[in-house]
Amino acid sequence: MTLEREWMRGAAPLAVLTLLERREMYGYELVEALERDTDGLLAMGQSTVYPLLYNLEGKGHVEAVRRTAPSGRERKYYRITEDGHAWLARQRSQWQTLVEAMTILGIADAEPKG
Amino acid sequence: MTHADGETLPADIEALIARVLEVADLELTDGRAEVERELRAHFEDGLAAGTPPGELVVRFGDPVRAGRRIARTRPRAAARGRGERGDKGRWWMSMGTWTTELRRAVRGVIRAPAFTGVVVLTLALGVGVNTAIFSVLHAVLLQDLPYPDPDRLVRVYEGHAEWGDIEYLRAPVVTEWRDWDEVFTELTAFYTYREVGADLTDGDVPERIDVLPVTAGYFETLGRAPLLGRTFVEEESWGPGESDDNDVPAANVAVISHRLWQSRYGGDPDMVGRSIVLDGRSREVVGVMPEAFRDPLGTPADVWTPQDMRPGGGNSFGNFFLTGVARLRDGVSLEAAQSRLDVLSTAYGEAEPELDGSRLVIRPLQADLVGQTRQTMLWILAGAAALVLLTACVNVANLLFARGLGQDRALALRSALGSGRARLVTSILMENGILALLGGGFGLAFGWLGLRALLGIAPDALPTVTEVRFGVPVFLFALTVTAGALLVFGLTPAMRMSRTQPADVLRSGDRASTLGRAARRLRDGLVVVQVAAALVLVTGAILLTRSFDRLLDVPLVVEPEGVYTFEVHTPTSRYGTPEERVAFHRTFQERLRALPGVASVGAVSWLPVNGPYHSWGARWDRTADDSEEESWESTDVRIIEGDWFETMGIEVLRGSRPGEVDPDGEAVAWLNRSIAESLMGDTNPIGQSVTVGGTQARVAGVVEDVPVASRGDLRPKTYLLHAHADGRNWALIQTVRTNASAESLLGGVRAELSSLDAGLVVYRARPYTDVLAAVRAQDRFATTLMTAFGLLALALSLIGTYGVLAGTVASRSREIGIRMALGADAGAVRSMVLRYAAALTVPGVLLGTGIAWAASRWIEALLFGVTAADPIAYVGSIGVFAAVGALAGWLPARRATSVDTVEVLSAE
Repeated sequence: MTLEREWMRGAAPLAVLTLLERREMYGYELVEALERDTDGLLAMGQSTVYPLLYNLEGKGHVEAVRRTAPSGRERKYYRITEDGHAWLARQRSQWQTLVEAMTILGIADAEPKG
Repeated sequence: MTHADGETLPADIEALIARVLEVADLELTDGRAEVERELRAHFEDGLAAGTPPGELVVRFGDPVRAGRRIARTRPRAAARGRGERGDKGRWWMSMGTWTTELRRAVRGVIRAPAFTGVVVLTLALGVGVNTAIFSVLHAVLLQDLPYPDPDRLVRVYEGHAEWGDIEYLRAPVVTEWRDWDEVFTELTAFYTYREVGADLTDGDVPERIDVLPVTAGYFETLGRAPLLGRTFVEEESWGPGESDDNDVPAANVAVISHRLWQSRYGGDPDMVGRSIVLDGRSREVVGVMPEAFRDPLGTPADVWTPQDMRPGGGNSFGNFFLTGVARLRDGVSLEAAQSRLDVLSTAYGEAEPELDGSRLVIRPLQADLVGQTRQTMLWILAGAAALVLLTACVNVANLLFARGLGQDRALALRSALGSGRARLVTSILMENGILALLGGGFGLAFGWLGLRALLGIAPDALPTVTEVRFGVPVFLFALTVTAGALLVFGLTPAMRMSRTQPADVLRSGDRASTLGRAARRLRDGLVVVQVAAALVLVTGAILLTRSFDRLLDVPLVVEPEGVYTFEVHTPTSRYGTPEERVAFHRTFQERLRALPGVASVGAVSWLPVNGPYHSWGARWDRTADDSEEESWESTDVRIIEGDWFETMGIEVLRGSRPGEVDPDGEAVAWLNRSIAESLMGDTNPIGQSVTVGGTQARVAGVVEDVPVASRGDLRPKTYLLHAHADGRNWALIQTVRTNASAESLLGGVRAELSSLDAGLVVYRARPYTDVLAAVRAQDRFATTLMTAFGLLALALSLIGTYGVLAGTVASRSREIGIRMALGADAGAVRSMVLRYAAALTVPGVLLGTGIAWAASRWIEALLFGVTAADPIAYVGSIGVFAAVGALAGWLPARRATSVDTVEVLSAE
């Protein structure tokens, strides 16, 4: 199952920032992680990942540095900024609120699927 | 596999990156290089992880959307506008896109030379064959005769309930009818036995030309005015005095052709009034006909002279020798004209007993010229050509089906890269359009060459009055049909694309895609139709070939090998009496006999197996009992000189040979077996008296029947010695049996002739075998063409059937591999393929046999010695197509069983 565009629009920046919170990553790494760590649920068209990164970069939520990847090739690594941390925290609490409301309404399960 | 920055990535990926950047419309200040580097890095990493390029392209997603979003993250680029919107769902394209597509199409055509070659060749053959044959059909059957109001022109015969057949016209009948203008506005007649020709001797070099004596009103009936001067006036045909056959014509005038005017007289503007010398007689040229003028019947004349229609001589009620052509009055239908003619004929017959109850019979001139058999032949050949076109179209369709499957991946990729359906359709149309243009171009060349070839083999098989031109409308029609097939069937991959997700196609790996059930049915159905059409043609070809074989087997009685024929005409002006002419021929033949290699020499007024000629009557004069009724029989008459029977190899069954009678004694005749039996029954004909064409002669011998035409028809025939024939200037055809070469014989003949009379011309020199070939020209024409069409269709259907089977086996190689891995043996797999081959050919054969059977009654008219239901033709063509099915199935069956199971299954 894939998410509808409107949900993706809200969820994608959160997912990307959450992943970058763990460690800095370059584009392909991030794309792979998104697919792998979300069971493919957030396997958004990769074409949308790069514009999203540029967008987050423009807003100051992430910053990019060039360095050598383990493969020996130079890659553009993205890492989350202070601004990004703060914004992510706000978003998280909003999602939490939303999920609680949805659970009360019976739209979301109380226990996440295992 | 590693990819450093700047290294080239697989073409699909390069195209994708270029597309993203193109849509994003970034400039250097927008960080274009940086974005590009990152995208390249993305794909390099993907490839390094072992993901196939196709998969990477799919997973990346829509490049247009990516480009647009990237543009939005870059304020400057966003400010410049929305950038390229992509062309999904758009039906118009920029000029640049058109050029790109065109280049891509040209590359596609060049990259698949085998496919391109087969499609272009198939198209070209279909178009070419049809253009050629329909050009002929159009000229001969559909195009109007080159005269004003051609549908008013009719051929006129005399008919009689008891005659059984229609006859040429008698001069008094024509003279009488000319005055009755209720039905015709014009009635003209011309000399039927026009092969006489004449020597034109007024220049330095004598020239043998064709002369046609015509009545006044000839050109007016045909509605054609002279270019210079005038045509003939009434008195020049019907002037005062009496006709005495040869000696003094009614008028010493002539009308000449444009060709003769140009070639011999240099287009002299003062031609009218000049004299020409024709057969030693001076004639005043009164007119020159325009270049476009054509005689409706026979070979085109160089000179027209007035036909003497005055009473007397041959212009009697006993001589049927004129060809009549008339122009119907406006508003009078053919039926109305015929019924009025019947009434008038009856009235005329009551006043004129010598008419013998005959009436005038009219037929539309064009239909009469073409003849029923030839008309049937041309329509059958045209139908055959159309079937060739059908098989060609089916082949093209199947080739495109097969190619379409191979194109699916490429199309899916382009669709994934954001090309809209419109653009894909345009792309395919362009590629097929190029193929159609190439096919059309070659088809044009084939059609032109084919038409020339047809005219080359058909001079004796087709009438010449209308000019055969290259049929542009036909060419366009054939091209439209084939190009239409190309475009319609070529679009199926694009249509299929729109129903499937490009990603699915790309993910399916290297497996070739397969057709849907409906498409497969359509494709198989096309093969069935193709086999059926080809079988009809092959059956027709076998029938005609067998018929032609039978024709060649007809015993012609004569021995044509080694016989050479030519004509030498003795002009009346210098050889004024029959005795002088006979003496000339005897001396000439005496000299020919002395030439090296010559075995025997003879001459005849009309060559055997060359059609009926000089059909007169023969009467058996029974002296014993005057009370008995006269015995009368219609007979062809031949005038002979020298050892003619011996030269031609005709056996004298009873009585004497020509060399054994006194040529200067009592008149003698030879009867052929037919007339001897029908006229005299059991009576010994030798010594009996007969009167033939006014000459009373004693029967000196009986000779074997010689067919009058290629189909072996026999007719009563009577032979008279030249010295005993009536006094006309007989145009004798020399026949020489020799073992010398044509060159050495003709060299000797010319030398002897010029030493005898330097003013005479050797005319129409040719081996007798050529004459026989011309007689069989129409049958050979039909057989050759039908065989060519049959072979063409056979080859096309073999390619078509094989192509479908091979394609099916290729697309099912995975399935076959699995079956074999699961233990199916090679035999089972092979029989599976062969069963499919049978499923394609058997219905085709049944359908084709049914159609051939139903259509056989049309071809019956062309057959000789074979019925249209000839079992050998049907069994033969069924056998041929069984072999086609087996052959087309065998190769793919072998390939199927040689499938490497491991390789196929690990191909993913």
